Amino acid sequence: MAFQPSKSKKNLGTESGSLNMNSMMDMMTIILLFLLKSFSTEGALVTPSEELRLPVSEQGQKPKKELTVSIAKNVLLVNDQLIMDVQDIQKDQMLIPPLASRLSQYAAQEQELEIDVGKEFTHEVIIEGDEKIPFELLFKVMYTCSKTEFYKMRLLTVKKGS
Amino acid sequence: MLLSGDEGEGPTVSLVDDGSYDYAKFREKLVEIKKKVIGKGFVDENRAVLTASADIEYQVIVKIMDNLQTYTDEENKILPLFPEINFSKILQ
Repeated sequence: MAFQPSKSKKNLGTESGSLNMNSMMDMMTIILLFLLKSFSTEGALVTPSEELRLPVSEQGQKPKKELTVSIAKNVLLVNDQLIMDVQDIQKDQMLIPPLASRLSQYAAQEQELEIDVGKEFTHEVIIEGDEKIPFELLFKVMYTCSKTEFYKMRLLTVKKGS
Repeated sequence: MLLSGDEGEGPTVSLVDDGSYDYAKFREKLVEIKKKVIGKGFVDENRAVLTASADIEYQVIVKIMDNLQTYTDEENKILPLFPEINFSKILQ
């Protein structure tokens, strides 16, 4: 005895399907966000320029973000803000007064932060010097840093091969 | 380049032919000195005082500091040479 085909299953074979992309788009967005976040900004970000070309070294540790003192060919900067021209530095004086006063401001700020919110004052400063600056200038800057409570100095260099 | 100590002036490292500093020989001398002082209980056996004429370029200072960091001994162990560097100024 032959059964009559069921009416409800009559159109099953001809049904057209479509791919639902929503869940995949969600996943891709999450992956993309994660990727963007993982491009970390570790180390000190330095923009090389003609005025400030860092010396090359073979050894060293990874730098952390700290207060930076930059000695370019012609100007002196603290945290990328202009302090003075290199020519204006007095020859017979070890201390550089404009730099000292700016650094003292930063030191005072840091000390206030230490008291108010408990952020430790590391006394660290990064010195970015152009490879051609004379030792005398470097020494004066280091002397000024040490006189204004920033006595842990790091010299920023470019590692060979990187 | 001049290496000096308490006992007086140490060895001098002359320039190479093209007028630049002889870092290889400088290193050799330093390792020699290090081997003399190592393990003898000096508290400052890792310390060096670096000084330079006023017009020496920063790149040279960094290279010297590079060469002062570590050395490799006969058993291929990497040991500290004079990594604690103090800066000083020549009184002129």
